[in-house]
Amino acid sequence: MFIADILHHTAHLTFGRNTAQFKQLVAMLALVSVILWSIVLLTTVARILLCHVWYRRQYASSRTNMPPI
Amino acid sequence: MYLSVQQSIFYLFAFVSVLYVTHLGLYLITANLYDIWLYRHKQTRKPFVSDPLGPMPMPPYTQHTPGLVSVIISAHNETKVITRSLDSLRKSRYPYMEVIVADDASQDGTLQLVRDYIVRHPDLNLRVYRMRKNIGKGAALNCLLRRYVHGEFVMTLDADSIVHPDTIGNALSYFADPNIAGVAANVRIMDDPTVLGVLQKFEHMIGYRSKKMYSLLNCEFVIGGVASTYRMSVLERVGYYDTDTVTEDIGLSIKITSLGNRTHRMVYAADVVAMTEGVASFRALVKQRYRWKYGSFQNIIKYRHIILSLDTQYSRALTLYRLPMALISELVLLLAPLAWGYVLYMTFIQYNLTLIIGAYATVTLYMLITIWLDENLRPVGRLRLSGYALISYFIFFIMDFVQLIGIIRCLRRSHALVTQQNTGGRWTSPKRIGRKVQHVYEA
Repeated sequence: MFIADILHHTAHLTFGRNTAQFKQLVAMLALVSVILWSIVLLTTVARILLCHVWYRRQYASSRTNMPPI
Repeated sequence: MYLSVQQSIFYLFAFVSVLYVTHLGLYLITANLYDIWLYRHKQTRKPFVSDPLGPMPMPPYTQHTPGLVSVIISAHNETKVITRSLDSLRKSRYPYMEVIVADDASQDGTLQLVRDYIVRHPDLNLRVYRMRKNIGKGAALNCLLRRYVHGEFVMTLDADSIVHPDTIGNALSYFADPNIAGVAANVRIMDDPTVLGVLQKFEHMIGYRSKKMYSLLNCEFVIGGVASTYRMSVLERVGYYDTDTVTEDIGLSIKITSLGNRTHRMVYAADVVAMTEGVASFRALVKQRYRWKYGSFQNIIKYRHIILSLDTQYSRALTLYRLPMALISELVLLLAPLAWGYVLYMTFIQYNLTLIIGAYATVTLYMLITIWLDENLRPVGRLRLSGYALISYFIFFIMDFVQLIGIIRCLRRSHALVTQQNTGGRWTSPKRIGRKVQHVYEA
Protein backbone atom coordinates (compact mmCIF):
# COMPACT_ATOMS: atom_id res chain seq x y z
CA MET A 1 0.00 0.00 0.00
CA PHE A 2 2.82 2.33 0.93
CA ILE A 3 4.68 1.69 -2.35
CA ALA A 4 1.45 2.12 -4.33
CA ASP A 5 0.90 5.51 -2.68
CA ILE A 6 4.42 6.63 -3.54
CA LEU A 7 3.99 5.46 -7.13
CA HIS A 8 0.65 7.20 -7.45
CA HIS A 9 2.00 10.42 -5.96
CA THR A 10 5.12 10.39 -8.18
CA ALA A 11 3.06 9.65 -11.28
CA HIS A 12 0.66 12.45 -10.42
CA LEU A 13 3.51 14.91 -10.00
CA THR A 14 5.16 13.76 -13.24
CA PHE A 15 2.21 13.41 -15.56
CA GLY A 16 -0.52 15.61 -14.03
CA ARG A 17 -4.23 14.99 -14.35
CA ASN A 18 -5.15 16.92 -17.45
CA THR A 19 -7.72 14.47 -18.76
CA ALA A 20 -9.21 16.83 -21.34
CA GLN A 21 -5.82 17.22 -22.96
CA PHE A 22 -5.34 13.45 -22.99
CA LYS A 23 -8.74 12.91 -24.59
CA GLN A 24 -7.91 15.48 -27.28
CA LEU A 25 -4.71 13.62 -28.06
CA VAL A 26 -6.52 10.29 -28.32
CA ALA A 27 -9.08 11.85 -30.65
CA MET A 28 -6.36 13.33 -32.84
CA LEU A 29 -4.49 10.04 -33.04
CA ALA A 30 -7.72 8.30 -33.98
CA LEU A 31 -8.31 10.82 -36.78
CA VAL A 32 -4.76 10.49 -38.14
CA SER A 33 -5.08 6.69 -37.97
CA VAL A 34 -8.37 6.66 -39.88
CA ILE A 35 -6.94 8.87 -42.64
CA LEU A 36 -3.78 6.80 -42.97
CA TRP A 37 -5.57 3.45 -42.85
CA SER A 38 -7.90 4.64 -45.60
CA ILE A 39 -4.92 5.42 -47.84
CA VAL A 40 -3.32 2.09 -46.88
CA LEU A 41 -6.50 0.31 -47.90
CA LEU A 42 -6.65 2.16 -51.23
CA THR A 43 -3.03 1.42 -52.10
CA THR A 44 -3.43 -2.21 -51.01
CA VAL A 45 -6.38 -2.65 -53.37
CA ALA A 46 -4.37 -0.96 -56.15
CA ARG A 47 -1.40 -3.24 -55.43
CA ILE A 48 -3.50 -6.39 -55.51
CA LEU A 49 -5.27 -5.35 -58.71
CA LEU A 50 -2.12 -4.28 -60.51
CA CYS A 51 0.27 -6.99 -59.33
CA HIS A 52 -1.98 -10.00 -59.20
CA VAL A 53 -4.41 -9.24 -62.00
CA TRP A 54 -3.04 -6.74 -64.52
CA TYR A 55 0.68 -7.63 -64.58
CA ARG A 56 0.04 -11.38 -64.37
CA ARG A 57 -2.33 -11.10 -67.32
CA GLN A 58 0.34 -9.17 -69.22
CA TYR A 59 2.88 -11.85 -68.32
CA ALA A 60 0.56 -14.61 -69.48
CA SER A 61 0.17 -12.89 -72.84
CA SER A 62 3.94 -12.51 -73.34
CA ARG A 63 5.76 -15.60 -72.07
CA THR A 64 9.23 -14.24 -72.78
CA ASN A 65 9.45 -12.25 -69.55
CA MET A 66 10.60 -13.52 -66.18
CA PRO A 67 7.80 -14.86 -63.97
CA PRO A 68 6.75 -12.93 -60.87
CA ILE A 69 7.80 -14.40 -57.54
CA MET B 1 6.56 30.54 -22.97
CA TYR B 2 7.28 28.51 -19.87
CA LEU B 3 6.21 24.89 -20.00
CA SER B 4 5.87 22.80 -16.87
CA VAL B 5 7.42 19.34 -16.66
CA GLN B 6 3.95 17.82 -17.00
CA GLN B 7 3.20 19.86 -20.14
CA SER B 8 6.60 19.02 -21.64
CA ILE B 9 6.01 15.32 -21.12
CA PHE B 10 2.58 15.57 -22.69
CA TYR B 11 3.81 17.40 -25.81
CA LEU B 12 6.74 15.02 -26.13
CA PHE B 13 4.39 12.07 -25.92
CA ALA B 14 2.00 13.66 -28.43
CA PHE B 15 4.85 14.35 -30.86
CA VAL B 16 6.19 10.81 -30.63
CA SER B 17 2.74 9.23 -30.95
CA VAL B 18 1.85 11.21 -34.08
CA LEU B 19 5.32 10.56 -35.53
CA TYR B 20 5.06 6.81 -35.05
CA VAL B 21 1.46 6.47 -36.23
CA THR B 22 2.28 8.50 -39.35
CA HIS B 23 5.40 6.45 -39.99
CA LEU B 24 3.58 3.14 -39.71
CA GLY B 25 1.01 4.38 -42.22
CA LEU B 26 3.64 5.71 -44.62
CA TYR B 27 5.62 2.46 -44.46
CA LEU B 28 2.55 0.50 -45.54
CA ILE B 29 1.50 2.97 -48.24
CA THR B 30 4.95 3.27 -49.81
CA ALA B 31 5.54 -0.49 -49.54
CA ASN B 32 2.44 -1.00 -51.70
CA LEU B 33 3.72 1.54 -54.22
CA TYR B 34 7.13 -0.17 -54.19
CA ASP B 35 5.52 -3.55 -54.82
CA ILE B 36 3.69 -2.15 -57.85
CA TRP B 37 6.99 -0.72 -59.11
CA LEU B 38 8.79 -4.03 -58.49
CA TYR B 39 6.27 -6.09 -60.43
CA ARG B 40 6.57 -3.63 -63.30
CA HIS B 41 10.37 -3.77 -63.06
CA LYS B 42 10.29 -7.57 -63.18
CA GLN B 43 8.24 -7.44 -66.36
CA THR B 44 10.63 -5.17 -68.18
CA ARG B 45 14.09 -5.95 -66.83
CA LYS B 46 16.83 -7.81 -68.64
CA PRO B 47 17.92 -11.05 -66.94
CA PHE B 48 21.63 -10.13 -66.93
CA VAL B 49 22.83 -6.59 -67.46
CA SER B 50 26.41 -7.16 -68.49
CA ASP B 51 27.82 -8.37 -71.73
CA PRO B 52 24.75 -7.93 -73.88
CA LEU B 53 26.77 -8.58 -77.03
CA GLY B 54 27.89 -12.13 -76.53
CA PRO B 55 28.60 -15.05 -74.23
CA MET B 56 30.13 -14.51 -70.81
CA PRO B 57 33.89 -14.97 -70.54
CA MET B 58 35.36 -18.16 -69.14
CA PRO B 59 38.30 -18.59 -66.74
CA PRO B 60 41.01 -17.47 -66.29
CA TYR B 61 39.43 -14.17 -65.37
CA THR B 62 41.06 -10.78 -65.30
CA GLN B 63 40.15 -7.90 -63.01
CA HIS B 64 36.71 -6.32 -63.56
CA THR B 65 35.61 -9.15 -65.80
CA PRO B 66 32.25 -7.96 -67.17
CA GLY B 67 29.27 -9.84 -65.82
CA LEU B 68 31.34 -11.85 -63.35
CA VAL B 69 30.09 -11.79 -59.78
CA SER B 70 32.59 -12.38 -56.99
CA VAL B 71 30.85 -13.75 -53.91
CA ILE B 72 33.06 -13.13 -50.88
CA ILE B 73 32.58 -14.82 -47.52
CA SER B 74 34.48 -14.08 -44.35
CA ALA B 75 34.48 -17.04 -41.98
CA HIS B 76 35.71 -17.53 -38.45
CA ASN B 77 34.93 -20.91 -36.87
CA GLU B 78 31.97 -21.68 -39.14
CA THR B 79 32.10 -25.46 -39.58
CA LYS B 80 28.46 -25.84 -38.56
CA VAL B 81 27.10 -23.61 -41.30
CA ILE B 82 29.51 -22.86 -44.12
CA THR B 83 28.74 -25.91 -46.28
CA ARG B 84 25.04 -24.97 -46.18
CA SER B 85 25.98 -21.54 -47.52
CA LEU B 86 28.20 -23.00 -50.26
CA ASP B 87 25.46 -25.50 -51.20
CA SER B 88 23.04 -22.65 -51.77
CA LEU B 89 25.58 -20.87 -54.00
CA ARG B 90 26.12 -24.05 -55.99
CA LYS B 91 22.39 -24.08 -56.79
CA SER B 92 22.48 -20.51 -58.08
CA ARG B 93 21.08 -20.10 -61.58
CA TYR B 94 23.56 -17.33 -62.36
CA PRO B 95 26.54 -19.19 -63.82
CA TYR B 96 29.22 -16.51 -64.01
CA MET B 97 30.53 -16.26 -60.50
CA GLU B 98 33.51 -16.98 -58.36
CA VAL B 99 33.19 -17.75 -54.67
CA ILE B 100 36.07 -16.72 -52.41
CA VAL B 101 36.24 -17.57 -48.72
CA ALA B 102 38.50 -15.72 -46.28
CA ASP B 103 39.21 -18.05 -43.39
CA ASP B 104 40.01 -15.62 -40.60
CA ALA B 105 42.32 -17.89 -38.58
CA SER B 106 39.59 -20.39 -37.65
CA GLN B 107 40.50 -23.02 -35.11
CA ASP B 108 37.66 -25.45 -35.74
CA GLY B 109 38.65 -26.86 -39.13
CA THR B 110 36.73 -24.42 -41.34
CA LEU B 111 39.68 -24.24 -43.75
CA GLN B 112 39.86 -28.01 -44.16
CA LEU B 113 36.10 -28.21 -44.61
CA VAL B 114 36.15 -25.66 -47.43
CA ARG B 115 39.15 -27.38 -49.06
CA ASP B 116 37.25 -30.67 -48.96
CA TYR B 117 34.27 -28.91 -50.50
CA ILE B 118 36.45 -27.65 -53.36
CA VAL B 119 37.58 -31.22 -54.08
CA ARG B 120 34.07 -32.67 -53.82
CA HIS B 121 32.42 -29.93 -55.92
CA PRO B 122 34.72 -28.85 -58.73
CA ASP B 123 31.69 -27.38 -60.54
CA LEU B 124 31.67 -24.45 -58.10
CA ASN B 125 34.37 -21.88 -58.84
CA LEU B 126 35.50 -21.74 -55.20
CA ARG B 127 38.74 -20.67 -53.56
CA VAL B 128 39.75 -20.23 -49.94
CA TYR B 129 42.48 -18.06 -48.41
CA ARG B 130 43.59 -18.29 -44.81
CA MET B 131 44.56 -15.25 -42.77
CA ARG B 132 47.61 -15.83 -40.58
CA LYS B 133 45.88 -14.34 -37.54
CA ASN B 134 42.38 -13.17 -36.65
CA ILE B 135 42.32 -9.73 -38.27
CA GLY B 136 38.57 -9.02 -38.17
CA LYS B 137 35.79 -9.40 -40.71
CA GLY B 138 36.32 -6.10 -42.51
CA ALA B 139 40.07 -6.58 -42.84
CA ALA B 140 39.66 -10.16 -44.08
CA LEU B 141 37.16 -9.03 -46.73
CA ASN B 142 39.50 -6.17 -47.69
CA CYS B 143 42.26 -8.70 -48.24
CA LEU B 144 40.07 -10.59 -50.71
CA LEU B 145 38.90 -7.42 -52.43
CA ARG B 146 42.41 -6.03 -52.88
CA ARG B 147 44.11 -9.20 -54.07
CA TYR B 148 41.79 -11.93 -55.29
CA VAL B 149 38.52 -10.55 -56.65
CA HIS B 150 38.04 -10.52 -60.43
CA GLY B 151 34.36 -9.64 -60.82
CA GLU B 152 32.67 -6.51 -62.10
CA PHE B 153 30.28 -6.99 -59.19
CA VAL B 154 30.87 -8.14 -55.63
CA MET B 155 28.32 -9.88 -53.42
CA THR B 156 29.11 -10.24 -49.72
CA LEU B 157 27.68 -13.17 -47.83
CA ASP B 158 27.88 -14.31 -44.24
CA ALA B 159 28.90 -17.91 -43.62
CA ASP B 160 25.60 -18.63 -41.84
CA SER B 161 23.46 -17.29 -44.69
CA ILE B 162 21.99 -18.89 -47.79
CA VAL B 163 20.73 -17.46 -51.05
CA HIS B 164 17.90 -18.35 -53.40
CA PRO B 165 18.91 -19.69 -56.85
CA ASP B 166 17.73 -16.42 -58.45
CA THR B 167 19.30 -14.06 -55.92
CA ILE B 168 22.42 -13.17 -57.88
CA GLY B 169 20.67 -12.81 -61.24
CA ASN B 170 17.95 -10.64 -59.70
CA ALA B 171 20.53 -8.45 -57.94
CA LEU B 172 22.38 -7.79 -61.19
CA SER B 173 19.21 -6.65 -62.95
CA TYR B 174 19.24 -3.49 -60.80
CA PHE B 175 22.67 -2.45 -62.07
CA ALA B 176 21.19 -1.65 -65.48
CA ASP B 177 20.84 1.83 -63.96
CA PRO B 178 24.38 3.28 -63.99
CA ASN B 179 23.66 5.29 -60.83
CA ILE B 180 23.07 2.20 -58.72
CA ALA B 181 26.13 1.56 -56.55
CA GLY B 182 24.76 -1.09 -54.21
CA VAL B 183 21.79 -3.40 -53.84
CA ALA B 184 20.51 -4.51 -50.44
CA ALA B 185 18.98 -7.96 -50.23
CA ASN B 186 15.73 -9.02 -48.63
CA VAL B 187 17.18 -10.90 -45.66
CA ARG B 188 14.91 -13.26 -43.80
CA ILE B 189 15.36 -15.11 -40.55
CA MET B 190 15.31 -18.88 -40.70
CA ASP B 191 12.47 -20.70 -39.00
CA ASP B 192 12.72 -20.85 -35.23
CA PRO B 193 9.53 -21.59 -33.25
CA THR B 194 10.81 -19.89 -30.06
CA VAL B 195 9.63 -16.45 -28.92
CA LEU B 196 13.06 -15.06 -29.76
CA GLY B 197 12.94 -16.61 -33.22
CA VAL B 198 9.47 -15.21 -33.99
CA LEU B 199 10.50 -11.83 -32.61
CA GLN B 200 13.55 -11.64 -34.88
CA LYS B 201 11.56 -12.85 -37.88
CA PHE B 202 8.89 -10.18 -37.34
CA GLU B 203 11.47 -7.51 -36.73
CA HIS B 204 13.28 -8.37 -39.96
CA MET B 205 10.01 -8.41 -41.91
CA ILE B 206 9.07 -4.97 -40.62
CA GLY B 207 12.58 -3.57 -41.00
CA TYR B 208 12.95 -4.73 -44.57
CA ARG B 209 9.44 -3.53 -45.42
CA SER B 210 10.42 -0.05 -44.26
CA LYS B 211 13.40 -0.21 -46.63
CA LYS B 212 10.90 -0.12 -49.48
CA MET B 213 10.01 3.44 -48.50
CA TYR B 214 13.64 4.46 -48.11
CA SER B 215 14.47 2.94 -51.47
CA LEU B 216 11.64 4.77 -53.23
CA LEU B 217 12.63 8.07 -51.62
CA ASN B 218 16.34 7.43 -52.36
CA CYS B 219 17.41 7.81 -48.75
CA GLU B 220 18.67 4.33 -47.94
CA PHE B 221 22.14 4.34 -46.42
CA VAL B 222 22.29 1.07 -44.49
CA ILE B 223 23.12 -2.08 -46.43
CA GLY B 224 23.76 -5.17 -44.35
CA GLY B 225 26.43 -7.78 -44.88
CA VAL B 226 24.15 -10.55 -46.15
CA ALA B 227 23.85 -10.87 -49.94
CA SER B 228 24.56 -7.20 -50.58
CA THR B 229 25.89 -6.50 -54.06
CA TYR B 230 28.19 -3.67 -55.10
CA ARG B 231 29.99 -2.47 -58.19
CA MET B 232 33.65 -3.31 -57.79
CA SER B 233 34.64 0.04 -59.31
CA VAL B 234 32.76 1.83 -56.52
CA LEU B 235 34.42 -0.30 -53.83
CA GLU B 236 37.81 0.58 -55.27
CA ARG B 237 36.91 4.25 -55.29
CA VAL B 238 35.99 4.31 -51.59
CA GLY B 239 38.94 2.16 -50.54
CA TYR B 240 36.88 -0.89 -49.48
CA TYR B 241 35.77 -1.50 -45.87
CA ASP B 242 36.68 0.71 -42.95
CA THR B 243 38.32 -1.37 -40.24
CA ASP B 244 38.00 1.14 -37.41
CA THR B 245 34.29 0.56 -36.72
CA VAL B 246 32.43 -2.43 -35.32
CA THR B 247 29.90 -2.67 -38.18
CA GLU B 248 31.95 -2.75 -41.36
CA ASP B 249 28.87 -3.27 -43.57
CA ILE B 250 27.09 -0.11 -42.40
CA GLY B 251 30.41 1.71 -42.64
CA LEU B 252 30.86 0.70 -46.26
CA SER B 253 27.35 1.64 -47.34
CA ILE B 254 27.42 5.05 -45.67
CA LYS B 255 30.89 5.65 -47.11
CA ILE B 256 29.54 5.00 -50.58
CA THR B 257 26.55 7.21 -49.81
CA SER B 258 28.94 10.00 -48.81
CA LEU B 259 30.11 10.11 -52.45
CA GLY B 260 26.65 11.51 -53.21
CA ASN B 261 23.54 9.39 -53.20
CA ARG B 262 22.16 10.85 -56.42
CA THR B 263 24.96 9.30 -58.47
CA HIS B 264 25.76 6.44 -56.06
CA ARG B 265 22.36 5.09 -55.12
CA MET B 266 21.69 2.32 -52.66
CA VAL B 267 18.51 0.42 -53.39
CA TYR B 268 16.60 -2.28 -51.63
CA ALA B 269 15.60 -5.27 -53.76
CA ALA B 270 12.72 -7.31 -52.34
CA ASP B 271 13.29 -10.05 -54.90
CA VAL B 272 16.94 -10.56 -53.93
CA VAL B 273 16.20 -13.09 -51.22
CA ALA B 274 18.60 -14.50 -48.64
CA MET B 275 18.13 -16.23 -45.32
CA THR B 276 20.21 -16.05 -42.22
CA GLU B 277 20.19 -17.51 -38.73
CA GLY B 278 18.80 -15.47 -35.88
CA VAL B 279 20.71 -15.43 -32.63
CA ALA B 280 19.82 -18.23 -30.26
CA SER B 281 19.79 -16.59 -26.84
CA PHE B 282 18.65 -13.38 -25.18
CA ARG B 283 22.21 -12.58 -24.14
CA ALA B 284 23.44 -12.98 -27.73
CA LEU B 285 20.59 -10.76 -28.97
CA VAL B 286 21.54 -8.00 -26.50
CA LYS B 287 25.18 -8.26 -27.58
CA GLN B 288 24.30 -8.20 -31.29
CA ARG B 289 21.98 -5.20 -31.01
CA TYR B 290 24.46 -3.27 -28.92
CA ARG B 291 27.11 -3.90 -31.57
CA TRP B 292 24.77 -2.77 -34.36
CA LYS B 293 23.74 0.33 -32.46
CA TYR B 294 27.28 1.22 -31.50
CA GLY B 295 28.42 0.74 -35.10
CA SER B 296 25.55 2.86 -36.43
CA PHE B 297 26.46 5.68 -34.04
CA GLN B 298 30.13 5.40 -34.98
CA ASN B 299 29.32 5.74 -38.65
CA ILE B 300 26.75 8.50 -38.26
CA ILE B 301 29.26 10.50 -36.20
CA LYS B 302 31.98 9.79 -38.74
CA TYR B 303 29.84 11.01 -41.64
CA ARG B 304 27.93 13.66 -39.69
CA HIS B 305 28.59 16.25 -42.40
CA ILE B 306 25.82 14.64 -44.47
CA ILE B 307 23.15 15.31 -41.84
CA LEU B 308 21.12 18.41 -42.78
CA SER B 309 23.49 19.05 -45.68
CA LEU B 310 22.06 21.08 -48.56
CA ASP B 311 24.68 19.81 -50.99
CA THR B 312 22.96 18.91 -54.25
CA GLN B 313 24.80 15.59 -54.54
CA TYR B 314 22.62 14.25 -51.72
CA SER B 315 18.88 13.78 -51.85
CA ARG B 316 16.93 15.95 -49.42
CA ALA B 317 15.15 12.83 -48.18
CA LEU B 318 18.50 11.53 -46.95
CA THR B 319 19.91 14.66 -45.37
CA LEU B 320 16.77 16.27 -43.97
CA TYR B 321 14.69 13.21 -43.14
CA ARG B 322 16.38 9.80 -42.98
CA LEU B 323 19.58 10.64 -41.14
CA PRO B 324 18.01 13.05 -38.61
CA MET B 325 15.24 10.50 -38.04
CA ALA B 326 17.84 7.79 -37.36
CA LEU B 327 19.11 9.94 -34.50
CA ILE B 328 15.68 11.05 -33.26
CA SER B 329 14.42 7.47 -33.09
CA GLU B 330 17.31 6.58 -30.79
CA LEU B 331 16.45 9.47 -28.48
CA VAL B 332 12.81 8.46 -28.54
CA LEU B 333 13.83 4.99 -27.47
CA LEU B 334 15.41 6.46 -24.37
CA LEU B 335 12.11 8.13 -23.52
CA ALA B 336 10.02 4.99 -24.06
CA PRO B 337 9.73 4.13 -20.33
CA LEU B 338 8.45 7.66 -19.64
CA ALA B 339 5.93 7.41 -22.48
CA TRP B 340 4.63 4.08 -21.22
CA GLY B 341 4.41 5.43 -17.70
CA TYR B 342 2.26 8.26 -19.04
CA VAL B 343 -0.04 5.96 -21.02
CA LEU B 344 -0.54 3.51 -18.15
CA TYR B 345 -1.14 6.26 -15.62
CA MET B 346 -3.69 8.17 -17.73
CA THR B 347 -5.41 4.90 -18.66
CA PHE B 348 -5.57 3.95 -15.00
CA ILE B 349 -6.93 7.23 -13.64
CA GLN B 350 -9.48 7.61 -16.43
CA TYR B 351 -10.51 3.96 -16.75
CA ASN B 352 -10.13 4.55 -20.50
CA LEU B 353 -8.46 1.77 -22.48
CA THR B 354 -8.83 3.47 -25.89
CA LEU B 355 -5.14 4.27 -26.36
CA ILE B 356 -3.87 0.85 -25.34
CA ILE B 357 -6.46 -1.00 -27.43
CA GLY B 358 -5.75 1.35 -30.36
CA ALA B 359 -2.01 0.72 -30.10
CA TYR B 360 -2.56 -3.05 -29.94
CA ALA B 361 -4.93 -2.97 -32.94
CA THR B 362 -2.54 -0.80 -34.98
CA VAL B 363 0.51 -2.99 -34.38
CA THR B 364 -1.41 -6.23 -34.94
CA LEU B 365 -3.03 -4.99 -38.15
CA TYR B 366 0.32 -3.66 -39.35
CA MET B 367 1.91 -7.05 -38.74
CA LEU B 368 -0.95 -8.92 -40.43
CA ILE B 369 -0.73 -6.72 -43.54
CA THR B 370 3.04 -7.21 -43.60
CA ILE B 371 2.58 -10.98 -43.44
CA TRP B 372 -0.19 -11.22 -46.02
CA LEU B 373 1.48 -8.91 -48.54
CA ASP B 374 4.87 -10.57 -48.17
CA GLU B 375 6.05 -11.97 -51.51
CA ASN B 376 8.08 -14.83 -50.12
CA LEU B 377 5.79 -16.66 -47.72
CA ARG B 378 3.84 -19.78 -48.45
CA PRO B 379 0.15 -20.03 -47.41
CA VAL B 380 0.87 -22.33 -44.44
CA GLY B 381 3.60 -20.01 -43.24
CA ARG B 382 1.28 -17.01 -43.57
CA LEU B 383 -1.35 -18.70 -41.43
CA ARG B 384 1.14 -19.73 -38.78
CA LEU B 385 2.70 -16.26 -38.58
CA SER B 386 -0.77 -14.68 -38.47
CA GLY B 387 -1.34 -16.57 -35.23
CA TYR B 388 1.87 -15.20 -33.81
CA ALA B 389 0.93 -11.71 -35.04
CA LEU B 390 -1.82 -11.59 -32.41
CA ILE B 391 0.84 -11.48 -29.70
CA SER B 392 3.40 -9.45 -31.69
CA TYR B 393 2.43 -6.29 -29.78
CA PHE B 394 3.60 -7.88 -26.54
CA ILE B 395 6.75 -9.58 -27.82
CA PHE B 396 7.95 -6.33 -29.41
CA PHE B 397 8.39 -5.02 -25.86
CA ILE B 398 11.24 -7.51 -25.55
CA MET B 399 12.97 -5.89 -28.51
CA ASP B 400 12.32 -2.40 -27.09
CA PHE B 401 13.96 -3.54 -23.88
CA VAL B 402 16.95 -4.97 -25.79
CA GLN B 403 17.31 -1.75 -27.79
CA LEU B 404 17.08 0.30 -24.61
CA ILE B 405 19.91 -1.71 -23.05
CA GLY B 406 21.90 -1.18 -26.24
CA ILE B 407 21.50 2.58 -26.27
CA ILE B 408 22.28 2.89 -22.55
CA ARG B 409 25.50 0.91 -23.08
CA CYS B 410 26.34 3.17 -26.04
CA LEU B 411 25.82 6.25 -23.86
CA ARG B 412 28.12 4.79 -21.24
CA ARG B 413 30.79 4.59 -23.93
CA SER B 414 29.88 7.94 -25.49
CA HIS B 415 33.38 9.35 -24.96
CA ALA B 416 34.91 6.58 -27.08
CA LEU B 417 32.14 7.13 -29.65
CA VAL B 418 32.69 10.86 -29.98
CA THR B 419 36.48 10.63 -30.00
CA GLN B 420 36.17 7.82 -32.57
CA GLN B 421 38.55 5.46 -30.86
CA ASN B 422 39.52 2.51 -33.01
CA THR B 423 37.30 -0.46 -32.23
CA GLY B 424 37.94 -2.74 -35.20
CA GLY B 425 40.09 -5.84 -35.05
CA ARG B 426 39.44 -9.38 -33.88
CA TRP B 427 36.01 -10.92 -34.10
CA THR B 428 34.14 -14.01 -33.03
CA SER B 429 31.04 -15.42 -34.65
CA PRO B 430 27.94 -15.85 -32.49
CA LYS B 431 26.97 -19.40 -31.56
CA ARG B 432 25.61 -21.09 -34.70
CA ILE B 433 22.72 -23.52 -34.76
CA GLY B 434 23.13 -24.92 -38.27
CA ARG B 435 19.45 -25.34 -39.11
CA LYS B 436 18.41 -27.37 -42.12
CA VAL B 437 16.49 -25.30 -44.64
CA GLN B 438 14.49 -26.92 -47.42
CA HIS B 439 13.58 -23.81 -49.35
CA VAL B 440 14.49 -20.13 -49.20
CA TYR B 441 10.90 -19.10 -49.85
CA GLU B 442 9.34 -20.27 -46.63
CA ALA B 443 7.91 -18.91 -43.45
